[in-house]
Amino acid sequence: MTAWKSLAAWAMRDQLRRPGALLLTAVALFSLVVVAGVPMLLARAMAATAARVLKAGPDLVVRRVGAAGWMPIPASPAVSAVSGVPGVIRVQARIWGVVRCADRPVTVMGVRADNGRPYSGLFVSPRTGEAVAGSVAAQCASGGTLSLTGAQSLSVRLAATLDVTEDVVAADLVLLHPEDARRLLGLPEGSVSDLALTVFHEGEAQALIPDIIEAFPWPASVTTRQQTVERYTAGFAHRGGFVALMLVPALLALSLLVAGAARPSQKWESEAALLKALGWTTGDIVVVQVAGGGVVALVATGAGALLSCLLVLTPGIHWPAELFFAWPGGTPALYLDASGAVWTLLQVLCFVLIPYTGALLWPVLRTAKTPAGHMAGGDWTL
Amino acid sequence: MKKGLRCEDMGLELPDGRGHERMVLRNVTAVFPPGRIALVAGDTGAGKTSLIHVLACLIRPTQGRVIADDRPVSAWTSPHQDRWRRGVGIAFQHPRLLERLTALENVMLPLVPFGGRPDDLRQRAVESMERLGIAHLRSDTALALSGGEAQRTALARALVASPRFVFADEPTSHQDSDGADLVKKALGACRREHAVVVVTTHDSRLLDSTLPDNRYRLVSGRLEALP
Amino acid sequence: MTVHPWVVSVAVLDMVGAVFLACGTWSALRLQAEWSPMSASPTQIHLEVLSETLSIQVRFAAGCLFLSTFLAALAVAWFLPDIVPGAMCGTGVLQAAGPEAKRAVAMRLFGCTGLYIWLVVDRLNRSRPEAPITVLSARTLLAVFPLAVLGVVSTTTSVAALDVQKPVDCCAAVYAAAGGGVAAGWISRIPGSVWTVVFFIFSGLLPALFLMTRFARERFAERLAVFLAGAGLLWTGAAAAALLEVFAAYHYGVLHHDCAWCLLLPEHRGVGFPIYAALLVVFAESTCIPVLSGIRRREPSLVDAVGARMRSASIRIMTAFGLFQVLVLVPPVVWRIRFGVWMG
Repeated sequence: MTAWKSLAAWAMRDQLRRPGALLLTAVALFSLVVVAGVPMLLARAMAATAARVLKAGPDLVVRRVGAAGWMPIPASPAVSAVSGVPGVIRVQARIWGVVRCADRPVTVMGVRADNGRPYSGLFVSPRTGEAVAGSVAAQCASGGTLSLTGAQSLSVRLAATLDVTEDVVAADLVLLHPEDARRLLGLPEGSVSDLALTVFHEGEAQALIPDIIEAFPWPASVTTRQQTVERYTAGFAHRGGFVALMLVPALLALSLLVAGAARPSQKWESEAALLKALGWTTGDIVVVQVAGGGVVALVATGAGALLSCLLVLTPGIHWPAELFFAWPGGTPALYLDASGAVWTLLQVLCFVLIPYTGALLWPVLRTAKTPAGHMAGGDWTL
Repeated sequence: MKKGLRCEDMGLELPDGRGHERMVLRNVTAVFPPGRIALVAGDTGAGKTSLIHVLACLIRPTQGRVIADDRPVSAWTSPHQDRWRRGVGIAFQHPRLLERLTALENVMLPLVPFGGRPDDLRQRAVESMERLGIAHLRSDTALALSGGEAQRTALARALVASPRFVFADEPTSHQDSDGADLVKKALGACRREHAVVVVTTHDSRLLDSTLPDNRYRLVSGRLEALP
Repeated sequence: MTVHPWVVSVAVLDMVGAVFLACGTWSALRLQAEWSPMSASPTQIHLEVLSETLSIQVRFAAGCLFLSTFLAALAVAWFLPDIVPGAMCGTGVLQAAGPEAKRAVAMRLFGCTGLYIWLVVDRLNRSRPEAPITVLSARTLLAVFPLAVLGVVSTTTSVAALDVQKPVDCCAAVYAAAGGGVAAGWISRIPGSVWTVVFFIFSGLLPALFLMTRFARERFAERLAVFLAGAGLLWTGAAAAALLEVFAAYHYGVLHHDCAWCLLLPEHRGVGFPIYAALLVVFAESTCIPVLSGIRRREPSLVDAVGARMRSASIRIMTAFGLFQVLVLVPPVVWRIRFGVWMG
């Protein structure tokens, strides 16, 4: 066993002499890791899940813009115009918009059997007077009927709800028959909201944008799937980042408490001097103090990280997403790859462990400055 | 290479508390060879404790130097002196035990920086305590020990790592005759292990014993060899 | 200003590192002013212990700053492009962060190299019981401190300037600059073949000088080591230019793409990390050797320790050089064997 291991063993024994302080530190660190880890993991998992679901969506989305903002697109001429652009292999005219259902906004989409897959896994085609809704949108149904208010009002029967795996992008979605949707949104006959394009090679999507814009007689805005994914990722990352930022004062407070609790005292200085007289170096004293606190911190942060993963990824646990991201209703089933989890936990560990180690080191270095010659002085007290 | 401990024209000035410097040690020149016990006697205030502190590099001499196994340890910086002290066993005039630790843990302290399995360290500490007849006190906290027991615990701590240099300041001052015999035996064992042993005392039980190989007297800071 | 978990992590590490570095530098100020070797005064004893705690403080600070630099590179290369519209690699992120970002990268590299040199000097100083170069070590730290702090400050400034709303050109700017554009600067204006020749000249010189230092007599070995360091510094520049202008294309599998950040992408198995690490090691060790040579001439008690450190520096230079050669030259050879032609 090398010296640092025996020093660490001694440090642990020292820690166990103060079980109260040990427990408090462990609980504080554990809580901090959970509070920091859950939102960061949630953000990462939501972004990854959104990217995974959106992967099955269109490569490009075309919208018509005018002085007043978005404008309806005349479906037939637009589809034939864009179909002629080399590289575009499929065009889907979509009807959608935001309306109110009871007291909350929902996204309405018109789908029919032949183009009823706005996202992967949604094999649905509501008939006239029927609706298929995401889990959150379904909550505003009353007696199996959804009352929707857009340009006009419309009441439809809730025929089915979407799979929970799509919730991250489809929680507030209501799928209607295209004619119902058009009427509700106030779109003129033969008009659609946007065009969803599939291109031959996804990598070329960006390069096709100028040709697509050129193909229309009116100004158009084209969004790539990458941009949509980026928007989701950025949104979730910002939320995670804000939570992390808000925790900085908590972390600072913990560090100050740790540093304050271990502030140098006459007794501690005398002890450091005695240890040096017995052959300990400043490094040995630092290792004992930091290793003692470090082992506690590692155990507490490890447990905190584990609980964070469980809270985020265990199906059926709703409250973390509700608490941190105000996610309405049930939490979507989230997906997180191993590397994503590792990076996030590394962030949390850096974020919590390094300042904590700094806080441990600070008073120790102040005390360890006591030379062994302090033993020879008359003010020696133990 | 000259083994042992040497002082060359060593002097020490310390503040006297009235804003002046007082010469505590003057021109001390001596050789303490390994495998021999040197006894330094002197009246109270003669500078015996200061001599021990300087030899153990707890205080740097203001003049001259201390050479240990041909290395000028007194000229070293404090961090290196701390490391060198791993080969030094010091028993202070007052035991200076850590009160929050047990007697056994106090004795184990010098072994920790060397590394090793905790069981081995514990075993070595118990052996050192057995040599001084205090193994039965291993679980008692330092606060619960009597003056004599604490002093022998401090000596067990000084000797536990089989040091190359042993410095004992008044090691029998709180001992009864049995305790003093145990202390003498323990110091004698150091001689057999070829350690350099320097003991300061004004206890006649040590002064008159056959333990020391060399005798010195400190008078007003000057070290004089006795026949 | 964007708030991303990576940005917060880097900022926290930077803050902790900077605080410890500032405290260490304050101690260094005292040390270089009051250090009085051999003195028995309480002040000197205090300074000796202070130098030991300073060493621990600054080593911890250096650890924090090295880690934050690595995490910052990782974030810029892998994670921040996700939130910058149009960014595909670190180039886009740096564009979104404005001109300060490039300065931050440079300051960080110089700061880290400076801290590395201080670590070498400090270790040498601690190796001798007399701590003979304490004042030099303190002065080195005083010189390094502004560089390291500027790195932290410019990183913070560029993060504050990071615009995640405005789309960037990313590597398109690099494409535009290929063959003499403005963005890539003077490196692109010199033909790749010139860089290749210069790179191979120094690649031959470096092992030759290394072998000469190994077999030369001690008094010549030191001079040769300084030459090796000089050649190492020049090789670093030539290797970086040749990598971007010529050899990176074999990793990307396209005719010309001289984006430095794309090499770090997971699509290219993050091969840029070991490649740039090898360049950094050669740069840092080559910078150390002249410093070591100066110490050796000035402090006789450190001759052996410095000699050993110079030997280990030259071995590290050659190890990093070997790693770089393997990572950079094997793909072109494989390409040539597979397709029978060189690129470009």
